[in-house]
Amino acid sequence: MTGIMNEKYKAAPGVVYTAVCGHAYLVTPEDILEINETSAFFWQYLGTGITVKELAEKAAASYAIGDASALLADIRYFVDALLSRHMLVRYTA
Amino acid sequence: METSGCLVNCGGVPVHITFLHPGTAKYFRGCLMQESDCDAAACAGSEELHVQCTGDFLEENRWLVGCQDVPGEILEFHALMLAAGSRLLARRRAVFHGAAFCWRDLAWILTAPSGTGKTTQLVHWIHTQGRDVRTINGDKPILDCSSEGSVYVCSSPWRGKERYGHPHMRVELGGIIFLRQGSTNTIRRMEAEEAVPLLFAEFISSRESAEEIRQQADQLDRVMRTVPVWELVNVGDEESALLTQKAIGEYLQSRQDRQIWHLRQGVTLVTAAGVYLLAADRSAQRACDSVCRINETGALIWNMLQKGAALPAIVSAVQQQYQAADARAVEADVKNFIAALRRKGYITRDVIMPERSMY
Repeated sequence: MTGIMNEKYKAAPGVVYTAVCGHAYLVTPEDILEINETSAFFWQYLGTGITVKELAEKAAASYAIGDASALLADIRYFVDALLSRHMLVRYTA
Repeated sequence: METSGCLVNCGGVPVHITFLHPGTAKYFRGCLMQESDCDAAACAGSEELHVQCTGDFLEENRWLVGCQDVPGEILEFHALMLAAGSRLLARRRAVFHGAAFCWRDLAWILTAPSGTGKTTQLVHWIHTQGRDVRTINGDKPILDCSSEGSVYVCSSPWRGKERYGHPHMRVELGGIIFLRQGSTNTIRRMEAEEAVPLLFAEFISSRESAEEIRQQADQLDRVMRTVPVWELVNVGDEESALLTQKAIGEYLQSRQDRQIWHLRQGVTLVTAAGVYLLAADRSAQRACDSVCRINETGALIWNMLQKGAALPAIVSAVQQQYQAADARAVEADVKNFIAALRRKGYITRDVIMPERSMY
């Protein structure tokens, strides 16, 4: 888990965040993925250049979760799903 | 290379198409903008769109026709569909992949990935319903989401290899049926979250920009909030079409039960010496007679309409008032009276109240 703590990501080119009937989606010319509210929160901040650790802390503060590390598994799952669908890329400065 | 062009009606939008291959023009015959369409489009403030494809665009989209050695004009005809589909989104229209037909005064779209059996289902509908079914477009109709309230399904030049469809049709969308092949026939209403990804894939556009994707999402949102979507798992037989007709029939009954009518502003029900009159003020008189005599039952119905009552409540009130046993006869009388009010201009429009479960 520590491996990804300091990693940064950004949206792959062409990925669009949109909503239909109150549900959030990430859309590319070839793909569409429904995401829940928490994932939408992750998406909003993942592309701003913050690390996974910082994202976990931000989400923990926002959702009033005492232990930010409890969110790391969720973030990891989300990041892996997006990487496998080419919606997210690793950010290297 | 010499270029030529034509003006095509795409869901009420005049689309001026310029051809790279002059031979492409023949595929648009029958869909050319008529003078009345041009007038209507001009009245609606719909300016012409210009669409044309470059040679590079044709090559990039050769996948649309599935093989390498098709004539350039056929490739261009299909590439123009993609180009027009993208451009129309800004006008709140969309080219949609599906077989659309009119039944019971509403449009229904059978959609699914290619090869699932849309045309087979359409043929079953035609066999089982005969002339009650009129095909709008067998492959790529145009959705018109530009009006308030309803979504409309319009003819398009891209009718598929069987060329099913009639030009210049525009029918209010009733619902969408998403097809899946299966070993038995079942039909059910789909939830938004399962229908959205499937329907999103059936919009025809290049999705080259974020703006295009958002416009497409907006139109899908509009469709999903306006009409129901069913999933029909089917074996491709006539029984599956009959099953769908039954499901839609039940839905239409519930839709009728949710219909309410808007009365013209400035019209008042007055009573004088036991006579009931609908009296219109000066402003309302532009659209209806100044006075119209109605009977006591008519007055009861008018009062119910004014309260926003739907048909079942009105029928029940009339039945109760006159202790009428035959509900069907009462319903027919109420419908006739409402139709007459509409004809005479006392009703301006009807509204279908949303289902509680609507997305």
